[in-house]
Amino acid sequence: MKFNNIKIAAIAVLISLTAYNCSNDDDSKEPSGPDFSGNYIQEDQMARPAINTVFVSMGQKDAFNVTVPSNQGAAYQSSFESRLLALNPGYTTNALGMDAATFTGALATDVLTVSLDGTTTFFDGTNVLTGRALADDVIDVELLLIFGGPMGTDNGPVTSDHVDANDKPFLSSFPYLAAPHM
Amino acid sequence: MNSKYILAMCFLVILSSCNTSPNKVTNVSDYNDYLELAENKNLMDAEKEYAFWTAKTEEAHNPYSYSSQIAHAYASMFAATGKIDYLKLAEENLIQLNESKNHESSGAMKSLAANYISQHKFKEALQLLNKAEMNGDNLKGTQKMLFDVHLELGNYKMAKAYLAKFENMSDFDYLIRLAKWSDHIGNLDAAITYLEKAKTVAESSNMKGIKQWSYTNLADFYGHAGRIDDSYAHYLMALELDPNDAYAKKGIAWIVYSHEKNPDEALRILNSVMRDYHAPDYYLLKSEIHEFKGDMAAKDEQLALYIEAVKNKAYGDMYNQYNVLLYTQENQNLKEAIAISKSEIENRPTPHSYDLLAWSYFKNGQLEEALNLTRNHVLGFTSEPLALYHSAEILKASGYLDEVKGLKPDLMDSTYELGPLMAEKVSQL
Repeated sequence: MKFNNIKIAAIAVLISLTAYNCSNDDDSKEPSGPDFSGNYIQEDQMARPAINTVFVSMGQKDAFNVTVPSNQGAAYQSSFESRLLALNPGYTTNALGMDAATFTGALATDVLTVSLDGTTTFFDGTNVLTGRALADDVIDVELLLIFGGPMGTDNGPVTSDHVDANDKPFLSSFPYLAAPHM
Repeated sequence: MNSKYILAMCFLVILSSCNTSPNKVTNVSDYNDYLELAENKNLMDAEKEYAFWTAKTEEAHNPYSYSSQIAHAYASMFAATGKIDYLKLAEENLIQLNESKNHESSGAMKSLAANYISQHKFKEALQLLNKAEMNGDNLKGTQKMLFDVHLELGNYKMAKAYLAKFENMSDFDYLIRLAKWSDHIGNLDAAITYLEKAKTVAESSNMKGIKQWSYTNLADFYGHAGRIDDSYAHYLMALELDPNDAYAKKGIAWIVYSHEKNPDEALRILNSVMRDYHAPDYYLLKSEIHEFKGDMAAKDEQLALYIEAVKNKAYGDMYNQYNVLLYTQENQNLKEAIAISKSEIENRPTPHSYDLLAWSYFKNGQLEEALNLTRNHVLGFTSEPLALYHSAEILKASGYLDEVKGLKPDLMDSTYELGPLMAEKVSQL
């Protein structure tokens, strides 16, 4: 029994020597893997399509992307308002009856709202921002609210992107999105 | 079981564990399937992508709506074939894209800058990146590219300053650039350590492109460090991800030629790569291997193919350095070699560019000019073996034999990287 232990010990030593023999990086002082400890940080954010793209100026984009939504309204409403008035100097109110300050205050908090017990839609004529369904023409709604004036009838040529449907039909069951083009 | 027997077995295991044959690293069966591919999948995918976006463009309101996607398809075709015309078509689309965005979109400017970097138009790339940096969106991405361009241009202080701006030891993009920087300052061990970390990041995020990139680049570094087995293993890992990876096959061909001294097999590999991939420098490599075999007619034939290929004006400055090395090697067009080297120094005053001029002067019999350049701009500024070899020859001709003796051990360690023909010259120093 005792001798067996010696044998096993000898084998263990030899195996470790063998392993050591072939290892080239024993003197590496760096940790062997990337360090995934610590907290995740926010890198990017996009809720309502195109709002970040259009309303946040280039120099502010990196900062906007790491601002938590609850702080976005206070930090960005005024620059959104200047941007809105630069895009549409004739802006008074839009079809929702919002003046420039109110509208940009709503936009600057870039989140998707959802009604848990109502119709899910970006805008269907009655419900506003109660969610977003795949086929909702979000960009047209946004253009209409920015350029369409109080009745949604101003600036006709720029209130639609003329893209009225996805280039492939959506699915009726999960994952609902069309399969990618391959 | 007899314990002595077990101990003896264990010793055998130790002895055999590292006892691979000193020269034979590669094995045809490891890579042969990759040489006999019926199709170039990367090219076919890029062509599909191109067809898809051009069809969309025809329906689109704005003709430049998909310029970016079309440029990407062309860039993929260039990567898959090495054909310069695709890179120029990508450039054309990216210029249109920038015009349609009024030269104000950072993303479009950076895409064009990346294209210019591939074309070795570093100054043009720098202009675009400086403007993108002023715009300020996705600033870290811009700073990463600014590091790349400043390093290429020989603006080492700027490169180092940019590197510090995006320091993050868990970021693939930072780690590969830290590795590049470490290699630049001559610390190959550190370069390998950082690239190995980058490889781990790439593997944990499991993204094919960056995994493949880290495998081929690590394979190169391992080769520089004389770790041929590791180098070979990583080229094979790249091929497993992308059986069409021409660069990895070329790497294996170099191992077969430079390390195993098997020119016929190296040529067989290169011939298979060149069915799909048409970069002119492959002709130069083949000509070198033919010369090693002593087949001067085949060597000249490949040189003629190279010279014909680079006549294409679309290459611009991309083959300047190759041309200088070719002219100096063949002792022809030395005046032109000097002129090209001067314009390279004008474009990017790196130790490497100064080395090319020094070497051209040396070959042209202007030893004093060569020695001055070597002393002031090359020796101590780079650890690149070819530049050190040139410096050693220039020092030797000038009578500084002690300094040559000092350089020789490092050069002898680099003979794998330099190749057998150069190794012969090194041994005669």
